Amino acid sequence: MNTNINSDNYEAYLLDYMEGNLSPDETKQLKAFVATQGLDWEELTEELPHLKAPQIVFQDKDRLKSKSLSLPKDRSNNKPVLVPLYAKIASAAAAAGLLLTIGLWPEKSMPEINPVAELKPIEAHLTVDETTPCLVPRRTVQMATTPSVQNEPKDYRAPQTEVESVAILSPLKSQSVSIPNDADDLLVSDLTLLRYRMETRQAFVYLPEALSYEKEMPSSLIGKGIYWMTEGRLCTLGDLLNAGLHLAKQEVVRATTDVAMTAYYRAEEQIEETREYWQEKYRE
Amino acid sequence: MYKMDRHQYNQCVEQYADRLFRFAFSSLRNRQEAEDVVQESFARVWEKRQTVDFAKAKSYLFTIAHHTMIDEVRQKRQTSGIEELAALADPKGIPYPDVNDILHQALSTLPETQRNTLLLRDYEGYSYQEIGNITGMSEAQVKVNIFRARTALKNKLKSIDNLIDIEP
Repeated sequence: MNTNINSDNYEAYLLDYMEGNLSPDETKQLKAFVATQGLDWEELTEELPHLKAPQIVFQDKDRLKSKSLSLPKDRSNNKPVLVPLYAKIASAAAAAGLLLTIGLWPEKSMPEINPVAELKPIEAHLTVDETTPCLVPRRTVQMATTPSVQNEPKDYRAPQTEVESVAILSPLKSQSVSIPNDADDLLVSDLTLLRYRMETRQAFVYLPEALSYEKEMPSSLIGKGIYWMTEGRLCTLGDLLNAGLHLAKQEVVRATTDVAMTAYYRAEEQIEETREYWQEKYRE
Repeated sequence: MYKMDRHQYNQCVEQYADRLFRFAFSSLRNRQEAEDVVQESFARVWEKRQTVDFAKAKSYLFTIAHHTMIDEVRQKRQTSGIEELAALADPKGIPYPDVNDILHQALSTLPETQRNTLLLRDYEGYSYQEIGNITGMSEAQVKVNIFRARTALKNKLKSIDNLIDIEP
């Protein structure tokens, strides 16, 4: 019997031999092969160790069960929801994006923008459409997938005399993307968009759009991340950052705890400052 | 039409969550990552309940867990946060023999594929053919990996024995 023992499979035969599954003829051939390789038969066939399985309990089985698997229809339903891994990655991306936008992006590198509309309170149910005033002026040029930062001053148009409106995520909605295959590209696109078009205050305009998932899931990675982070229960930027940081955990929190706290407090200050600005403006 | 109903799915959770977590944790030695793998695996089973029936759910879970660990978690692994397996062992369960503890620590030095095939064999008692189906390898490749894993662990034990012999 020719067993075709070679250097790629002889270890499989050795295992069979040690488990008593080789015929005398096959054993003979195996020994012959081992000898030709200059290997020590006795050493190779010494008793091999086996692992004993420890008793380990997965503590959170209820979270895995099907009653918690579907997304809550009712926003007041605060039951924990099973979050797939890709969603956590998206969440981390969202947290990173927001941290970069709010906490890290140097304000002086952004174009100066004067507020042109009233700052709406951030609410989970609020949606933004073409008629909703917001702080971001409409762009005259169609957004490229990954715009170059160097082109920023040319493409950017300062607000005109009348109030203009735009949905910050509109350019991304035209893209057909999916997670996780395009996650990296999309994240680059998201971050570039955020850097390109938003300054700290304007980041808040982004949130209502990202939360308008009743119509459809947000098509941007950050939008998806925010969706998964909050499941629609988000009310404030502080909640968003906290939720993002909670889910992002190892991906973001370890490296950016200080930055996150700084961003959080800065964000609160910005909200207050902006509110006061518009209250004063309104009184005028 | 679903091949697995909600009740059967929940039965899967009861029956296999511990085993799947043990497999993932023994391979990754990181609680958070292991929990992620378990969640991911069950989420995928739930999504695929139209095609996966109850009888095949266990091997499907281990298949997803294996590939998740190979494809995704490994790339993101960080050296921090490593936990000892013994810390998670049920104190009321089988006490850890010293040799077994050493073997589990030595597991982390093995390549991922060797480690996972060995765990599937020793923890779950899968046949080589079944492990091949789960990992996408041939039966011979599975045997080669397991033989190499056991040999590496044996050598580890021998090296520790030698150290003890040298001690005055």
